[in-house]
Amino acid sequence: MLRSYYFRLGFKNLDRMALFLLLPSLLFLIIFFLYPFFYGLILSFTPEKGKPIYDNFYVFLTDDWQRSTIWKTIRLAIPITILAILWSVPLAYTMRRGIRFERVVTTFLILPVSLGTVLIAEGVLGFLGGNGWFNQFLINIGLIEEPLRLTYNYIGVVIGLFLKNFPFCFLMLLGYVSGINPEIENSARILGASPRQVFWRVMLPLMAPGITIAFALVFVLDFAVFPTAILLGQPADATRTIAIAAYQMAFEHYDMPKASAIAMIMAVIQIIFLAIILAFRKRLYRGTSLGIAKG
Amino acid sequence: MQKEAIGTLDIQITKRFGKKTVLDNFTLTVEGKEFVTLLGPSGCGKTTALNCLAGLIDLSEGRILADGERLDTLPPEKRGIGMVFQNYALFPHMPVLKNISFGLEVQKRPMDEIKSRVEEVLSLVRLQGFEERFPGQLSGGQQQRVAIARALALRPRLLLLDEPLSNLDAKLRQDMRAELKNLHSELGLTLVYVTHDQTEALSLSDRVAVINEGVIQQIGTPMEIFESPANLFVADFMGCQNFFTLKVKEIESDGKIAVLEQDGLELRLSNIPQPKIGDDITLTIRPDDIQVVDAPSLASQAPVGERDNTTPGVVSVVQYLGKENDIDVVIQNDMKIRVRSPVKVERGDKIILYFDPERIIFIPR
Amino acid sequence: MKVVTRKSLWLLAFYMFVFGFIILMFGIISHVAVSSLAKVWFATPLPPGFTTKWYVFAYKEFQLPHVMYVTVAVAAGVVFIGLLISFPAAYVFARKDFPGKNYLMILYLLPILVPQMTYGIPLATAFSKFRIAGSILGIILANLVPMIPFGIFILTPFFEQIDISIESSARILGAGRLRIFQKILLPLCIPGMLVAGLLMLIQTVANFELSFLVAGTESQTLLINLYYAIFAAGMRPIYAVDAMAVIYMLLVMSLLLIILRFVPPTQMVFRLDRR
Repeated sequence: MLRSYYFRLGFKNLDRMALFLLLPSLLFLIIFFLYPFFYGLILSFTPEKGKPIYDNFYVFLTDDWQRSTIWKTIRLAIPITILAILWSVPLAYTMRRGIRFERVVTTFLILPVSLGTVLIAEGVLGFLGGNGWFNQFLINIGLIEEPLRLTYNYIGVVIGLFLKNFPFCFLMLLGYVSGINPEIENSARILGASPRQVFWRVMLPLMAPGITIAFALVFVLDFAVFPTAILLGQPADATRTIAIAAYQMAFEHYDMPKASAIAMIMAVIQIIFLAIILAFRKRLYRGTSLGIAKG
Repeated sequence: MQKEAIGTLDIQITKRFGKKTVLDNFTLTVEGKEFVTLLGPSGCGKTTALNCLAGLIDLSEGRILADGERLDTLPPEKRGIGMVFQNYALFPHMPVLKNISFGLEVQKRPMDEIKSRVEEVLSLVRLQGFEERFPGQLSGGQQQRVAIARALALRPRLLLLDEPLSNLDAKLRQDMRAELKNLHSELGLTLVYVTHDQTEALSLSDRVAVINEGVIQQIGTPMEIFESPANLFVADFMGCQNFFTLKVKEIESDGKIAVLEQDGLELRLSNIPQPKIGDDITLTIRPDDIQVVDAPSLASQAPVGERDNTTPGVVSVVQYLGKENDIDVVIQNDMKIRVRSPVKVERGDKIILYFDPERIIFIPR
Repeated sequence: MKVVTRKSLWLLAFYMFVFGFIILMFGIISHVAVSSLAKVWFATPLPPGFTTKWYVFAYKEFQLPHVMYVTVAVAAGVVFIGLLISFPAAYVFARKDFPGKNYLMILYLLPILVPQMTYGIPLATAFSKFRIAGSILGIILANLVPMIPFGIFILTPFFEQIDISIESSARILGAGRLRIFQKILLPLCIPGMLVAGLLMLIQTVANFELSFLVAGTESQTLLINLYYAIFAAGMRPIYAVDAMAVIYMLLVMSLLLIILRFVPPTQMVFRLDRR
C-alpha cells in the first residue's frame, strides 16, 4: 500500500542513491542555516527575567533612537534601489544586442561587484574626499571654491552603495534582456511599431518580471547595508542603519536576545517588502514568463 | 493609406558581415501575386536576404525597389511588409486578440476597423474562439496560425515567411502547406518564402531560387529546377544521387548524338549541347530513373552491350522501402550507383541497369 | 532623419554615463594605488615623492603573512568542501524530479538571496554558543552557507547539458555507478567544477559580512583586516592602509582575470531567468 502510494507521488525517482547524494547539502543547510535562524527566533522571544515575552521587540520599537534606524535604512535603500533600476533598464536595453567595447564595459562593471563594498569605500574616501582628485579637479576648473562634502555623510553612503549595487542590478537585467528572443522585437517592428512603441508596448512588459525581481533583490541588499554605512557615512548619526543597530547590540552590548530581535525585525521588513513586490508582479503580468526564451 | 499590393519587387543585395560576404550581388525580381521560394542549406544566406527585405538588417550595397520606389531606405515599420518567423515570435504577454490587433493599434486605426479586421483574419486561419488565450496556452500549429493571422491583419503588400513550418511535426506540416497554398491563391498575396526543404519549395512555389554560399545558383519554376538543374550543387540539392563524369569518345554523323565513355561505362546521348571529342561531361540521373532490365537469373547470360546505355553490376545493399527498394549497385571500376526500383533483388545478384537517355541530366559547368 | 538624431542623442547619453562610471571606478582604483606609493600626499594632483616602504610597513604592522594564511586556508576550505557537497546535490537537481523539489529549491535559494547581514547575526550567535566562532573552521562553515547552494546552481546546468543517454549507454555497456561517475560524469564535469570553484574562490576572498561576524582577532581574512584598518584610520598612516587595499585588490583582480576567461560577466551575478 505504502509502496504504491510513494510510486504515485513520484518517489520512485528519488531512489536511495539520490537521497544519499542530496543529504550532505540538506543537512548542512539545516544545521548552519535553518537551525541558527530558529535559534535566533527563539532567542529573540527570550526576554530578561520578569519581562513579557515580546519585550526584546518592544524595547527596540519604543526607543526613538533605535526605531529611527528603520527609517534611516529605508531612506537609503529606496532611493538607491530606484536609481539603480532607472539606470539599469535603459542601459541594459541599449546593450541587449551588444555594443562596441562591450567586454571593457562589462569588465569595469563586474569589478565593483567583485571587489566588494569595503574596498569601494576606501577608494571613494580617497577619490571623492575633500583632498581627492575629484574635488581638486572641480576647484581647478573654477566650478567650486570649497571642496564638496561627498564622504562621511548620507551622500557618501549613497555613492558607495550605488557603485556596487548598480552594476549588480545592471548585469542581472542585461542577462535577462538578452535572453528575450530578438524575433519578438523584430516582429513588432515589422508590424509597424516605431522603436519607441517597441520599447513601451512590447519589450518593457516583457522585461517587467525581471525588473520587479531585480528591484526586490537590490532593495533587500541595500536594506542590509553595513560596512558602507560605517566607513562612508555617519554611523553614529544620519546613517546608523538597522544592521548597525543589530551589530552593536550583539558585539558591543553582548545582548544576544535583543540583537536577534533586531535581526528578526530586519528580516520581517525584507519579507514584507518582497511579498508586496511579488504580489504586485503577479497581478500585473500573468502568463508572461512563458516562451520568451530564444528558440 | 493602405498601399496596393506590390506589382514588381526588384532586389539586388550585397551583404557583408565584417569581411565575410554573406550575399554576393543577390539579384531577384518578384512579380505581383507571385510565390517565390528561397531554397538552400542552412547558412547559405537565405534568411539574411529575407531580413534585408524586412529591413531588420541594412544592406552593404545594392537596393530594393518596390514598383520603382526605394524600399531599403525605409525602417521596417514603414515598409508595409508582413513577416512570419520560424519561432512565430508571438508576444507572450498578450492574448491572441492583442497579438493580432497590435499592428493595427500602433497605427492608430479606428476601433471598428480593428475589430472587423481581426475577426476577418481569425476566421481566415480558423481560430475563432481563441481570442483570449495566451500564446503559451496554444499548440505549435495554433501559434503558427496566430503568427500568420497577425501578419495578414495589416494587409501587407508583401508577405515574408522564414521557415514557418520547420517547428511542426510531419503531419501538421503537410496540412499547413496546403493551407498556405490556399491562402496564397485566395488572397492574391505576393510571397517570399524561405526554406531548406525541397519538398516545400517544389510544392508551394511559382518560382524557386536555389542559393548556396550567398550566390543564387538557379532561378526557375519548380519543374525547371527539378528537371534541368543548372549545376552540380542544384542537382545534388534536388535529390540527384548518381553523378558521373565521362569523356566524349565519338560524335555520330548528324553531330547530335555523342558517345561518352569512362572506365567501361558507355552512354549514347542526344542532349549534350555542342559536344567536342575529348570533353569531360558531367551527368546525373535520379535513382528512380534507372531501370533494372533483366531478372537476376538472366543477368549472367545477357550479352553485354547489346543495348545502348546499359551496364552490368552487382547488388551490394538493398533497403526495403515498402513499395520500392533502394538498391546500391556496384558497376565497373567499383563505382556505386543508387537505384530505386520495385524489382526484388538480393545482395550479390548480378543485374543489368538501363539509363534512360531522356532522363539523364546534363550538368553545365 | 528625426529618428536618427534622437537615437544618436540617446546613444551619446548612454556612452557618457558608461564613460562616467568607468572614470569613477578608474579614479577610485588608481587613487588607492597612487596613495599606497606616496611618501606623503595632500591635496595635490600627484604626491611629491614615491616610496614602497608602506608595503613593508603593512607587511609587518598588519601581520600580513598570518592574514594571508587565514585567507588562503578559508578560501581553500570553502572551495574544497563546497564542491564536495554541492557536486552530488547538483546531480540530483539536474537528473531527478521529485515532489517538493520546488520548495527545496527555494530553501537552497534563500542563503543566496537573503542578505548575509540578516542571517549572519543569528549564525554568529549560534556559533559562539558552540564555540566555533573566531576559528578558521567557523569562517569556513559560515562562508559555506551561501556557497553550497551557489555551487549547486552553477553546477546543475552543467549536468543538464550531459545527455542522459550517455549515462544510460555506459550502464548498458556494463559500467557500474561508481565507474560511470569516475569515467563519465567526473571528466565531463571538470569545466563546471572549474567555473564553480573559481567563483566560490573569489566570493569567499571578497566576502565581508559572514567573515566579519564570525572572525576573531586571530582569524581575520585579508578583507576583514582591511576593514579594521580603514575603520581605525587614525591609528596608522593612510598610505599603509592603501597598501593593504592594493594587495587585496591585486588578489581579487587576478582571480577575476582568470574567471573572465571562462565566464561572461552577466553570468557572475544572480541569473534572473532561471526561476
